[in-house]
Amino acid sequence: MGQIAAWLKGTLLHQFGRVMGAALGVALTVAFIASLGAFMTTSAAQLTRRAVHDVPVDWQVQIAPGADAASVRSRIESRTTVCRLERVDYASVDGFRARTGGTVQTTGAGKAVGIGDHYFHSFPAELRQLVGATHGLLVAQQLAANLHVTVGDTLEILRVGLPPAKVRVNGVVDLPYADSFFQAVGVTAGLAPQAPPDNVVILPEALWDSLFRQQQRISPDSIQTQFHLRLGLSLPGDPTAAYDKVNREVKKTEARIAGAAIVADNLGTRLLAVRADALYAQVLFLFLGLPGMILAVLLTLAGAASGGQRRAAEQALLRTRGASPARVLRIQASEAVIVGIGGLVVGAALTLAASRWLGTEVWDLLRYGPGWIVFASIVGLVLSPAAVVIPAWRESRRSTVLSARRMVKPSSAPLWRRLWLDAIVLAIGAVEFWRTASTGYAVVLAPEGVAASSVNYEAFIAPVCLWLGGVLLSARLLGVGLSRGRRALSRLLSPLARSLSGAVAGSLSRRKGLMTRGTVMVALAVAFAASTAVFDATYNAQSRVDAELTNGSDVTVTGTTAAPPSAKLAELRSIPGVAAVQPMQHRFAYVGNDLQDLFGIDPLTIGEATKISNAFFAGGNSREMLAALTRMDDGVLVSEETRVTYQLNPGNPLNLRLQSAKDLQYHTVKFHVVGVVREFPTAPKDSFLVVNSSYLARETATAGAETVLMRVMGDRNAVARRARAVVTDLPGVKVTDLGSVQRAISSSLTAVSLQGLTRLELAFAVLLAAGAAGLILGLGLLERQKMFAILKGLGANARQLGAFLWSEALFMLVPGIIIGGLLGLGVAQVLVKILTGIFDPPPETLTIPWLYLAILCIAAFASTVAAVVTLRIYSRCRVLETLRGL
Amino acid sequence: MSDVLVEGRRLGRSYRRGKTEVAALADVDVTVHAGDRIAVVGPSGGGKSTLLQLMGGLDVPTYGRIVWPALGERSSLRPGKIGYVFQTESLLAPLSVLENVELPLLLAGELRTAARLRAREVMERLGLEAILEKLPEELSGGQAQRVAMARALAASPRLILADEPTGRLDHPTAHCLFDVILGALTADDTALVVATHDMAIAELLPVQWRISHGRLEET
Repeated sequence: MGQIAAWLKGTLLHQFGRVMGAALGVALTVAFIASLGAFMTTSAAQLTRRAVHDVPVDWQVQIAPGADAASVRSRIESRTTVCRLERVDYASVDGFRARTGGTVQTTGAGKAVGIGDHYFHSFPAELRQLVGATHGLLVAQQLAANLHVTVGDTLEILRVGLPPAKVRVNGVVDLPYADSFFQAVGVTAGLAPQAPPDNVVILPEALWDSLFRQQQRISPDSIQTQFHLRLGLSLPGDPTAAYDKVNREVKKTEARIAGAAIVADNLGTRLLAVRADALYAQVLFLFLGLPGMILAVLLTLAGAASGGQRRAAEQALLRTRGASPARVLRIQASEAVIVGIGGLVVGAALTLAASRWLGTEVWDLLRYGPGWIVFASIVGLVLSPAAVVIPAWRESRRSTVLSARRMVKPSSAPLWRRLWLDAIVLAIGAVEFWRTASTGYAVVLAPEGVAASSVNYEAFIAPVCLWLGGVLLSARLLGVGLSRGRRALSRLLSPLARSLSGAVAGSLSRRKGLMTRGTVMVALAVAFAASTAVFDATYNAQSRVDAELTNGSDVTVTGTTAAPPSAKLAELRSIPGVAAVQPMQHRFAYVGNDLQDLFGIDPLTIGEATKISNAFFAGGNSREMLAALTRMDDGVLVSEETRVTYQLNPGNPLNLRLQSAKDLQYHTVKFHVVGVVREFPTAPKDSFLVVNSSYLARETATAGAETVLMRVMGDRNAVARRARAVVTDLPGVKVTDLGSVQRAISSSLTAVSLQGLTRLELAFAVLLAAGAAGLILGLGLLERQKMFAILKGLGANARQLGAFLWSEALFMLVPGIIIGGLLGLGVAQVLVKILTGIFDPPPETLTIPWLYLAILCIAAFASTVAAVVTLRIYSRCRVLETLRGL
Repeated sequence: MSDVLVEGRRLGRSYRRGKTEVAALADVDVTVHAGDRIAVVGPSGGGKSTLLQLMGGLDVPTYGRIVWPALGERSSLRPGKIGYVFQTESLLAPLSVLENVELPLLLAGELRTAARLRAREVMERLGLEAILEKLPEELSGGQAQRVAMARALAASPRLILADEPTGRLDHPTAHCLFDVILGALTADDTALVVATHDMAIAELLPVQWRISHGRLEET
């Protein structure tokens, strides 16, 4: 024990820099794994929390006709963790009537809903107060508009089979979640009408009872009773696991209330919907995060292994002083444990800092990240002893001089090289890539309404093969180059090493294993950083394209046919900062029985206010396609889906049914297909049509444009504000700007995860690249301090010593950056192709973040320079000390 | 009178070990002429290596004065004018034997072809032509020290300083190596200063300097 303590004390006193270097490597790995893993789980948990929070009512339990509601309630409350439970009664009514301003307005069928006094408090999101009280009789906004009633007015409820009931309006409310509030519980999706009723009144429970208990007896089918529940479940962070838990709870509850009620699981439905997002985030983590983690582990191992020569010498010394192999191993392991513990402490601090930087709360980190923190700690604790003890154990087995001599005989090429594993792996990767990319597969499959979801892990084969094959091929080429290219290397180095170039080339060539490992590590770090950066830049570019497509232009004004914003075109055009304004009609047309979005444009000028990309059109030529539409007055561009469904080709006639402003009836209008359009500003992603606005205006008897696209030179927010002021008197008109749309798009877990992941990875990648270039070189060169002392002893001057150092550094750095850059681009290309589902729309080309790549190269170069300069200073200081040991 | 290669007066060198000042050399006077054959003997830790390092310009004295009248400034001594042989394992592991031997010539600015020619010549003189392409790790201890001596001789220095060149060799191998060294120097006026604790080796040389506790006495 005393010997171990003395050894450790000596190591810390005299080898502090080396121990710190190794500990930093471990710290970096621990921090990277912990912060990345914790970030991913925390993001997923935040998404789950957000999804759960957005659900206004977790469950709607509908009581079967004739069942005892009180009994159902007690059965639910007896086992399920319920926070809030409110009874809601629904009565179908024939309509509503009101007399205002000397006229009588009567609506169609509607619903009268009875709620308890606490409903507003229990489920505040379901009802939004607009005017008047929040109790008494509340009228839905649409019904209030239809009947022209407001607070204080009287309306009649046209009950089924009973005389109308007169009630007084106490307030007007909005029902933001009308879809789920009025959903058809227990009916297979698609079989029941999905649209919520327009005409709705909300009544206090007692009033509802007095008005509709009799109707229940006359027409039982017109009355339904539900319990609305907020659950008190503690849900896991992962949406899929959360869904599973909720689903189990549903099954348990349904078993208890079988025959008496059925459950509409709004919470489960919401969680199902976010699974795909969570799975994509998981895929991103595997594609982009895992390689970084493996790289960090490799780097730490390489850093620790670079001290092998020193440890072998120390081991030999300890053995000659009588230490048993087991004691030697214990001594060396104790040093590794110190490195591991030091790495953990620094790693924990780095993790905390990284998490704060990513905006993760400490509480969330501790709640959702302990698994990753523990895993990273185990990796850190295992890593350094493994890197030190295993080589030491191997060394201890080479116990005789004879066996040691055998080691220096030129060994044959490694097995993978003899088997051409690099070529085989690359070929497999290429075939797999071609197969997956050409068959229209989806890496994530999470169909709506289906509980099962899956990730196509086969898609990982291509990038993994590219990584592995690329690295092995690089190692082969570097090895061959160093073995057979000594002359060329000598010539390359001659400007730097002059007459010593041959000796330097020889030195590099004979240490080809070390040199190749170093270069490959640099290449891996650069490839990792480059692939992540290119992928992220491409994603961001496509997000912008997506936002442009969704919003249509920098600022977009959207209205209705009744109140088209084109009426204010001149005023919108005159807003300062507006570069161009274009009206665009947005109507609906029947193609057969399908109702599709129809856009009427002026093909000659539409491009002034919005970006029309070649990628929007089949054939890839926007100019040609718009010119063709201009030439054909009744021309129509159809979506790919429409073309396939209706077997359409350019020139074919296409009859559309359009609503005419004259009689508000749909009439058939003849068009001719001009071509296929894939995307269009503000258009939906599936089916839509694009036609000439002049022809559309003529055929529908109205020239108003429901959309106005505005291109802005300057502050979009300011223009949007001014535009809102211009159209404020047009009912139902909305103004959106590109920035807010982009922010909305970037709020998905995929986007959030990618942002955090890449932010973290790009920062760590710079450290990893710098570490690979500097740490390995520095630690490797420390092992060769003796070599520099000898050179100094032989009379080498500073320039000549520098030639050895710089040649080595440049050999690792320059090919490392070139190979890494190429590999990174290749991997990014494969990732973009494989993860096409993440991109909307898919990119035509990669976006290269030149600034980041330049920073990366500078970091690697600076780290190398720092390592070389430090080593030169260190070697100069210790020449005599080292020489005395010779 | 032959040239004075090294002249040191009242040389002293001390090192700091923790809080203690250790005197490795104290008030040493030395003079080395061309053609001298000197053995520096004494116990381990007596100051032999320190003296050789001062004479070779690898280190500077704490006090006293050392000059190289026939060789020039300290900065220009190695590799052209002084050849240095370290105790053991001083060959550069990644370079072949031939590359190790030609290295001082290249460091001195010789062209590569000329350096290679000269290295081959020296190696043949020392009977090492069979191991030209071997790597240091493939050599025996005796072979490695002969290569180290060849490397010291390659640049045709005026003075060779050998620090315990036979320290880790058995007696027959050490004698054999010394015979080779002396044989190689027979016909020229290169001075040789050898630090050794082996009296049998020291007695092969005409002059012995005894150094003990940092003080020098000529015998």
